[in-house]
Amino acid sequence: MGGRSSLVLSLLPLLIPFAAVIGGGLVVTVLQSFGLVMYSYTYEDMLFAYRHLFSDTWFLESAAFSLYVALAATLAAITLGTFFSYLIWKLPPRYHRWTVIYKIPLILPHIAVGFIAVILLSKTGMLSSVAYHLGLTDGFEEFPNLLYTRAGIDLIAAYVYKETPFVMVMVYAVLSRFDRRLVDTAEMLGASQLRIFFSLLLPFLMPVINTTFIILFIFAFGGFDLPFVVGSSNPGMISIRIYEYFFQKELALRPVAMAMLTLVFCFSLLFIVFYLRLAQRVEKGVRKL
Amino acid sequence: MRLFFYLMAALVTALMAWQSGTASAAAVAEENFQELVRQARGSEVRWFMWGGSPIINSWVDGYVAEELKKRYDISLKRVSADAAIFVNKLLTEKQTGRKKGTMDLLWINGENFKNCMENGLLYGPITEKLPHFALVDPASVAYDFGYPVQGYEAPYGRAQFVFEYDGEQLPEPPDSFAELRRWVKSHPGKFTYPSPPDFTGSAFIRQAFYALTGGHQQYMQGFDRQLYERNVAKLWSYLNEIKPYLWQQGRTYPKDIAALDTLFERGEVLVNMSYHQASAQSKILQGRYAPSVRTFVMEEGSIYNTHFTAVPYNAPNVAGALVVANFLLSPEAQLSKNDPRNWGDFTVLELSRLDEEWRARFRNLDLGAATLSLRQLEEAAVPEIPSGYLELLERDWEKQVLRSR
Amino acid sequence: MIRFGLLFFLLFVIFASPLVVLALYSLSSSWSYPQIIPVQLDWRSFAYLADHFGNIVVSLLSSCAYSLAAVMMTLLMTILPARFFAGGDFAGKTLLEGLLLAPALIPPMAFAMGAHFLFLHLGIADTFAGVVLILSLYSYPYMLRALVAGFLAQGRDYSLCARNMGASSFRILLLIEMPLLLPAIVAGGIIVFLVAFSEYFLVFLIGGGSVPSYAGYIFPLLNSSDKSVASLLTLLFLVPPILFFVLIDRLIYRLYRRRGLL
Repeated sequence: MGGRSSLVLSLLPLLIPFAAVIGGGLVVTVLQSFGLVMYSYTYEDMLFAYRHLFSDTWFLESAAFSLYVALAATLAAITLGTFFSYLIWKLPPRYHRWTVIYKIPLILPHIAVGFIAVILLSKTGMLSSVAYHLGLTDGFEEFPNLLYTRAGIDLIAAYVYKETPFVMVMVYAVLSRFDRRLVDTAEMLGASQLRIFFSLLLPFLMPVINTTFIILFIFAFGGFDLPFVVGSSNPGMISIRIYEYFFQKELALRPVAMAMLTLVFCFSLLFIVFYLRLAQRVEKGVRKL
Repeated sequence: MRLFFYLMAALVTALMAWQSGTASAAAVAEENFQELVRQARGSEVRWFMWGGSPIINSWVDGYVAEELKKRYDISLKRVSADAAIFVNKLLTEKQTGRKKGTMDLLWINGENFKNCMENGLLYGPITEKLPHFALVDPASVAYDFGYPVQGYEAPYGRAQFVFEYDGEQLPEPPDSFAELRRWVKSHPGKFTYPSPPDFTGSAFIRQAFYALTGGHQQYMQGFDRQLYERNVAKLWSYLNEIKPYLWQQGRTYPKDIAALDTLFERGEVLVNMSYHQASAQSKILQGRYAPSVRTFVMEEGSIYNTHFTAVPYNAPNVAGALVVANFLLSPEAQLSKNDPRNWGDFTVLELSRLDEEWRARFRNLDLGAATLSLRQLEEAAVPEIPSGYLELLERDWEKQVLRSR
Repeated sequence: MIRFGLLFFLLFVIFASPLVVLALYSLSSSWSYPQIIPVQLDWRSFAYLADHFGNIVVSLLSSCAYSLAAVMMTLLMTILPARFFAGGDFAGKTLLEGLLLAPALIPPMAFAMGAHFLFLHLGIADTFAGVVLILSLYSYPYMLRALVAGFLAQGRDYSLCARNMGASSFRILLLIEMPLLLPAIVAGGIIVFLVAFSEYFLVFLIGGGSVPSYAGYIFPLLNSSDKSVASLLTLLFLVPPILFFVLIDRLIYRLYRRRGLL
């Protein structure tokens, strides 16, 4: 390959459509959040939307709730997913193909997963019926509230169900390139399974785990589909607020939705930068040891 | 003398021409419409509408599509989407100056219609071009949520708000807002309403607003902020009073009417609501509700609204869209739609404008035991509120009820 | 064997058993607490399926077509950049990589309305090409990540070796790196396919109803209270991707066997 310019050239097939569509689209969003290019509406105060957001506590409450749900769901999905793919990887290869059933939630769209969560978790749902027949409860009144609550159990459960297989696919793809002989050697040298997992495999997996964590966390933080079906209406995920302001309120309030989108976008960028930096630092620390 | 004669002749001719013009306005409209029918033959019409009801989808894809094909050789394509979303799409098309869009006919009303009108998104006026519009009492469809229709949308159905309950579990439903408060307090956890801005939940609080503040009359003259602020506290105090006794202690509300339907279907709450008077009956016919489910309206009245079809400013097939809108207004289509086995949506036609045979058919329609009689519904019917109030009620409910501790 | 049985059982209970519930729901008209299985069976949802069969098949095929096209498109868009990112460190790499991940992360609405504006001017709004483009831009980060990981895992030894023997860049890519990259392409491609296949909002906005989509078809039904029809149509959602996976799986198996890699 000849020099730096051809390297940059190789980025072009991605950069051009990216800059045009994503970049162009974002510019419109940011402009509208300041009340510009808002069709026939004009705003005297360019910061009107941002003032509107911070004049009350609902925005911060929704942001905190989204943060909590995204963090809890992503941590659980990463842990479960890594663990499961490790177990599958350890199986003799001839069994691997039978484990594909874990990919089912991957195929289901988020809204269908939400639909399943409602069926399973509601006070009169499937789990409650099973609990009744097992003699755990005497009626649905005794079954705990799992749907639409401030604890966000329904959202977290649905995200974990949907995202764990994603983690498994990502982690397994990397794991399958891992040289098994290293594990054999470690075993011969007397390392415990736990130690092999944490000292040998996990460092090898960390890059993909980091990437997956970022993708899932930010997706859960700003995702639209699931909160349509499950989750509390108060405080409610931030994406629901955006949808309300975008589609359901007067057009004149559109900049508020755009301001929220802008903030979510800025938050996501900051999160990526900080996370990657943190991950790099941790990795370097490990290497020094 | 001669001059006088010529003048007279000219005058008479002019008068005659004028006379025939008025007398046959309907005939001219009919002739123009036949021209539209000719243009629309063999074309495709894309109808954008909410698609969340299998029974409505089946009526549109089945009866309507088949009849249109048979009568006019028009292929009807139903496209499912939230009205708010396609109105937004239309708005973007308008801003970029797109002359030819993709939507021919829209099912809209209320705020979405207002948004369309304020941004010039509709083609029209259209009702004067539809021969079957003569069967509608124009005064009954002059306003859509308080916004003047001005012929820019054609009515095609009418829905009224009712409550649903199972007569076997609840022999005497609470049929006034005072009664409801008593009942909710003595049956904690058995009642709730969808959180506005859900369409049905929003209608429920509007109804309570009417009932608790002395009726709908005072709000009919357009939006009056002072009046709103004077009256609205009564609504919030009522809703907050029952809040601790609602499902989940009122800490959260069902997201939308579908969520509440499910709670009711599975027995978690004992009273359900619907902005569709025949929905209980059609769910009984589908086997989803027990046959003992019945409906009731509040003593203080029950809101009704009209839904409409409209044509976007950039519809690629205006002629086809108008033929479809006119067909939807025909007595045949209206009767078929009114049958609870098909949908159960009420007609917008004024029955006195139909001939005796059609009147009898509408009268003899079996609405089912779960649907209230037309007379009961009519006696309770109160019109929708101007959308200025609606927007404020939805916005303030969030602050005053949902998030109040 | 026992370990496999246990793991399989666990995976089944967690990931597959909800489908059993959906299957039961699609056969029931009413189902209330505390029945474990519905008492009344009926075929209402199947009648709906039969009545609307034409529309449903058309929307399924259309969804498959634009999702497959999006897979190809994302592969073309990301293969060279992925090699570039795997190639080594440079100033601003982290930032650029993070930025290029953004489309998968931010709510699509953040750029979708503006993109629609742009597409209208370009004349590709309401077309198949427009839908493929917007879906590719939304989902390529998955392909990019998979490919970068693939390039990193395969190391540079093979291509270096080939280069020393005088192979051109293009030949190296096509004959050495691509085959080695196949598992990564498949992993990325599957995710792109699924993201595209289940996306509703973008397809509706850019496709404008001119491009049918199955997600668009069932979205309003899933949000309705008719659980029976919604359950059946959700199960139907699984069919094309599963067929696609099985096909890919067989294909790769054969390819690897022929090349003696297995």
